[in-house]
Amino acid sequence: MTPWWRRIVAVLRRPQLDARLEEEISAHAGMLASEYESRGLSPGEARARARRDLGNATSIVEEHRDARGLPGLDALLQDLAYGLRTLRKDRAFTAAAIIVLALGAGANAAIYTLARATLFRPFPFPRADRLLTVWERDTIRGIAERNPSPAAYRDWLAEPGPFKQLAAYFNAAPTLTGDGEPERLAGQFVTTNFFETLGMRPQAGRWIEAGDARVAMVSHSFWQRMGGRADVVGRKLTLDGETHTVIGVMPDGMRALSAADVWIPITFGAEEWKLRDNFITVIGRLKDGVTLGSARSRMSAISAHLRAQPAYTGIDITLTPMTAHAVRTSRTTMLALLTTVVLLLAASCASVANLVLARTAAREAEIRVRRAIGASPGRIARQLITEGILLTALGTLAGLLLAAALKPALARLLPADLASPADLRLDLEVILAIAAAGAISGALLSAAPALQALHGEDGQLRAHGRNVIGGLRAALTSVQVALGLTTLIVAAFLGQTLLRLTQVDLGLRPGGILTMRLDLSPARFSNPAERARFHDALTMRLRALPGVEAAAMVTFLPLTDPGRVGFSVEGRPEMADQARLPFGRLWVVTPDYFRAMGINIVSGRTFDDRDRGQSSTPVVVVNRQLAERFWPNGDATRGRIKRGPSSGEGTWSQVIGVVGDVRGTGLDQPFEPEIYMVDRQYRGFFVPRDLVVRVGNADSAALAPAIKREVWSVDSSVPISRVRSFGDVVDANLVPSRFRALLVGSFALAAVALAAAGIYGVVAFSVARRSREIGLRIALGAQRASLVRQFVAQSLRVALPGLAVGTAAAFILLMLLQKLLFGVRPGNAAIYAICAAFLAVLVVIAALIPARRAAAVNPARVLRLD
Amino acid sequence: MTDVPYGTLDLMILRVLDSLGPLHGFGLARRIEQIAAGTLTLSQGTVYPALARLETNGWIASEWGASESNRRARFYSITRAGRKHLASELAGWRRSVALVNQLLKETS
Repeated sequence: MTPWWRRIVAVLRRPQLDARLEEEISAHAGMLASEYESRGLSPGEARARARRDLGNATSIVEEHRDARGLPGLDALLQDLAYGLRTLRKDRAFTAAAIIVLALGAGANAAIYTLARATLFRPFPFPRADRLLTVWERDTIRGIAERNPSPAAYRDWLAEPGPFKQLAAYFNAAPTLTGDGEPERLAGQFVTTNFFETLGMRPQAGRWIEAGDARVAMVSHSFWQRMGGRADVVGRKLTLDGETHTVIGVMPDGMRALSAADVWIPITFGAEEWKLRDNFITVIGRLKDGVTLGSARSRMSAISAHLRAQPAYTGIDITLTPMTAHAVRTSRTTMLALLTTVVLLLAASCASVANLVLARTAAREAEIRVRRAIGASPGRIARQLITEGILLTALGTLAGLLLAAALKPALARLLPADLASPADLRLDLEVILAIAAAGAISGALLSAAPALQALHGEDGQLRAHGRNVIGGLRAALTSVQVALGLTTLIVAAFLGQTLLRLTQVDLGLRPGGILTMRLDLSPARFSNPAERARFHDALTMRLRALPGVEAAAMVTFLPLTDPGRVGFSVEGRPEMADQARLPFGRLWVVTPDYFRAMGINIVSGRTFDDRDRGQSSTPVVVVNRQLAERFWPNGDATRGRIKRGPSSGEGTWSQVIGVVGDVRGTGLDQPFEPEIYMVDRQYRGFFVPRDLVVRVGNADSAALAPAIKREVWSVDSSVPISRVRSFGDVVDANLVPSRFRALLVGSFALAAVALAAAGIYGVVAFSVARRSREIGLRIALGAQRASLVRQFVAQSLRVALPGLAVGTAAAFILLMLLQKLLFGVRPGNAAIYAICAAFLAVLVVIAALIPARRAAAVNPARVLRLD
Repeated sequence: MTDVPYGTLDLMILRVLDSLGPLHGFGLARRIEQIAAGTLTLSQGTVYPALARLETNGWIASEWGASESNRRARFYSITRAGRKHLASELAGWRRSVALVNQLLKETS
């Protein structure tokens, strides 16, 4: 047993060892007393002399403890116990400080996890810095990064390049059929060395190998959907009508690269490998020892060599590190977030500093007494620092608990493009970071009182020092007010933005519409006649369902950003030129669409049976904006429109009606020209896939399964997804703004609370310090009411610069964050005024409470306390 | 009274325990008083912190026993490590004394 070990044990066994010493000493005393008695002294005298001979009992015990234990640890435990007692005594201060610190630490933790999830996604592949993506650069058409073609991949493989492995993949969406509903999966077709290039081993089963056919690897999340059991290897999946055997499960880390559910080996024949369509992605792992620079020059040489072939004229090969894709941002939101949190942290630090300064003054007396009875300045400083760290430790703990409690709410509010909720992890890394920040701030916070203990004369604050501290407090409080006002104003603007967004005119009646995505495979449904048969059958069945008022299909739902096409209007010669065409959104719909969505008809008619036949005139419906722009006289229904330039191949379509404008892209986007074509007459890429059913007041949740059944009774292989009401679609558009408004709003609330607490502290401190002066003035006849007014005026004097700075800072911030605003401009003075007034009122109230105590001072008592 | 430097008190305790065998605190204090009689007075209690230090360093060991008057007392005895420490310390002191004697001879 080493001395150190004995010392630690001695500290742990302190009570027993103290008791033992006590026993020894009394035994010793007893023996000494017996001796004195035998020498003739009375028992009482003998005992007294014995005690005297032994010396000072307390110092013996103390020295014994120091000798056997760890004096440092002992002192620390003592300090902690003392600190806890002091904190418990002054509950108001402790509670306030812990709440403030918790807010700061909680915000810190929340933002750290958020930043980690959004700004940096861990790239879990071994030696990920050696992984590159290989792109084509088309110098002739000016395309910087373009997917290569299968033929290009083959040609690259044939060249001696810097890669240990070169793999390729492309995305697909195979339909899974079998037990349960047909479903569209996210899939990737990959070369056999794809996983080997990434270096990520499967968590079960094996990789795809050369020679494998009709196999599939599944992702971690898909595996869990399949039951998450070990027997998944060997199971069969029917994808696009063909049976594939599952041979392995990839770990969750694959999510960093792709959201695919299944990976299937590419089964190209010789012909397909010669394809020059640009749709595959090529990745490579560098050979050991090859730098990115030399790899790039190698690929330049290769592309130069390949340019001898006409297919590669003007084509370069570029390399980008795959880790570059790991950064995912929605920059403006993160900016708003970070700014607010920095403000909140600053506010909470200012608050705690304020509180601590207040306490310093209050503890003058205690420190003086301790110095007087012999405590060294170092000892006192150590104790104060321990107390500071204890306080911040408690606050940090509370903050982490707060963050953990709020995490589900944060995850729910999160816009999907920012991060996935699974990435929000409050794990060891976060805890350590926040704890470290807490420890440092704890040490810093106790610096003020500790320094004062070290340097004050006899622990007494000189008058000068007092003024400095008072001034510091006032300045800090101003800062708090400024921060509170800034966050409040920004929150108010974001809230107004949210409100305006909810009030946007959508151009349709959004209530009572159920939508679903039917993934009709293009192969089956590229023929309009086939599609028409499907739609007719489906619409007939759906209309028969009770509660269904209208049913239709459309290419895209409003608010989901449909594509735009160039179009030309008859009678405008400039529109023969492709480059000068106006652009509008194209909607391919079934006849009942306008009724289902509740879009108004402005003039003319919409699609009906006249447009059914094979030989009926091609017709279109346009929206009000388009009609007013090109036929300002109101005779749109006499005009004709064509897709593409007027000199081009498209057919002229007759405008038969004008409908109201609809928000196609987003709530904050303006109306655009829109062209509606009826499905029966449309030949092209876009197949109407979204089913919209107006169910009116009927229970949409109950009708959804019935509608699905009808779809499958017409065609049982159609996968159905995205079943939601149109209200949900609108809501999804509101999610980012709502998130921002709520987040900043809650921070604003906290910051304002802190500012109010700061004002309260300043005035309370002032009142306490000047209680004698107040007593004197009351005794001399001063009115209590005017005293209260004076203190309130003092608080306003402190707050005013803060209000001014806060307004200015908010304005600057809003100018920077203008993109986030809608329906309200940064110069909207009314909002500034309301927020400032609100905060000013709050300041006055916060000052009134302690100020009224000034009025209640009893001059006799206070003056006697000299 | 003068305070005894820790080092010297420790050596005295070890020496006493080495020559006289296990003693309890009272006996030890008495004996040290006798040895140091005249040169210094020692408040008896100071022996206990010294004993604690010696025990932490592993130079003595302690256990409960019965005193002459059948009181329960804690007895301290020197360990082998303690003997080694004592021997080397005393050797050190002798060297110092010889050196100082040399100096004294030179200067006188």
